[in-house]
Order: sequence, then C-alpha cells, then structure tokens
Amino acid sequence: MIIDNYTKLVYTMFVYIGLGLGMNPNLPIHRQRLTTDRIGRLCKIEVSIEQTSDLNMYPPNGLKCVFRVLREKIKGDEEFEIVLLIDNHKPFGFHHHTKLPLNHEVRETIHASNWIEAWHIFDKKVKELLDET
Amino acid sequence: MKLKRLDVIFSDHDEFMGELKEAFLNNKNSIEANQTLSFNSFETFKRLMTANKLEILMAIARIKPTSINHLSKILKREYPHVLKDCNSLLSLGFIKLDIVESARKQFVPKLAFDYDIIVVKSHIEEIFSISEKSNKVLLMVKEKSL
Repeated sequence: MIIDNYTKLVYTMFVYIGLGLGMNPNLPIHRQRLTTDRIGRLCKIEVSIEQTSDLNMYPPNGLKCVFRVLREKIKGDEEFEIVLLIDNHKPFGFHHHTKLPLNHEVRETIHASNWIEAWHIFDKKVKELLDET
Repeated sequence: MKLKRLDVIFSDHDEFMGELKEAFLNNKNSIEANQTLSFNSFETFKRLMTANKLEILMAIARIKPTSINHLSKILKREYPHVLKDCNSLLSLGFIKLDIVESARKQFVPKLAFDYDIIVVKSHIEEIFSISEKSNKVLLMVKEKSL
C-alpha cells in the first residue's frame, strides 16, 4: 500500500512537471460545437479534459477525458441523445461505447495510450457520424 | 465601463478540431474558450436562436427570475414552451439551471456566466444586447459617435 501510494505520488509529480513543460494541455478544457449532419439533425460535439488526482479511476495519468457527440432524436425537436462517446474511466481505460444510443453499457477498449491518440480516433468517428444518413 | 461578452463564432469541423488541438498542445488559456460558442454556420445559429429565446436571455439578465414558472409569468408565455426553450438554451450553453431545494425542487435560470452582450462573428459582426448595463453603454457609445 505504501509502495502503491509512493508510485502514485511520483507519477502525479511527473504529470505536473509535464504540465509545466507544456507537454499537457492547460486544463480544464470544456468546449462544445453545434453542427448539423447530412440530413440536417443538430449535433453537439462536446470535449472535456480535466486533470484529477485519481490515477486509478482515470488511467493512465489521472486525466479525465470525455469526448462525445449528442444528436437530435428527430430533426428539429432539439431533444438530444448521446450517439458517440469515448472516455477513459476504470476498469476499461480509453474505450468507445459502440452501441449508442440504444445501449450505454456496451464498451470496446480502444488502442490509445493517451488522450491525443484517443482524440484522433474520436475525430475520425465524428466525421463518419456527420456523413451518415 | 467594460462589457462582458459571449462570442458566437462559425468554423468548419477541421478548424474547430484544430483550434482545440492547439489549445491542448500550446497551453492556450481555456477561460476564453469557455466564453465562446462554436457553430458550423450562421444558418444553424439562426435556426436555434429565435426571438423568444433572445427574450428569455434578456429577462434572465435583467429581471433575474427565481424559477422557470416566474420567467414564464414575466414573459406572459405558457410554462411548457418556456421550459422547452430553457432546455434548449441550456444545451446550447447560453444558460445554466441552478437547482434550489425549497418545498419542491425548482430550477433557477441563470446566464451561463455574467455576460452583457452576445457578439455574433459572422461576415458582419452583430451585437445582441442582453443586460441592462449593455443598453446604457451601447447608447453612450452611439451618442459619442454622433
């Protein structure tokens, strides 16, 4: 337990030194963008990254990342449902909720070791989603 | 007297993702980003920002309603319609709804932050006056320019 805490402490120090060197973003970042898909349904792209001290909950370095897209259920009704979600909570690490909007519980681990790689995967999936009919 | 502004900008997908990536990598201050709402086109913004919703924003800034019911009375509109517009403004990022536990749970509509004007940065910059203070300041500016 002591070793575990020591490891966490060293890792947290490493993360904060990294932040100081500009290796990581200026956090937290919460951004959103409103756009429309090919058939005119509103889509809300939300990106949220924040530093937490919980390395266990948000592997690998305590960064809580939530990349998601909410889309109008019916064009014009302004009622949104989550259709794309990539996040990184335990025990999965970075994962994609592959059966949205029907089933939130189905997850697939994605091959991303950090938020930049996950971000690129998200970017690609957003483009596919906006091109869907 | 300085006015707090909420910027509405228009960018394509790659620009938006690029801006974010730059913010991540270059440690740009994200506080400014929180005061900007990004849309893909002016048409999308226009479709969402109706006169009724603009009126809601002004009422929230100027009268500070204590609930959505109060807001609907101020605006003399049906409660369900005001509620729907408030939910829409919430999801767009223009307002927040604070929960107050009294006899029953109430939602207090508030601006997302304390902005006075909305600046729409299209081909022509358009300014929507939201707070009472912004009215006075814009009037002073206009008088000075005459």
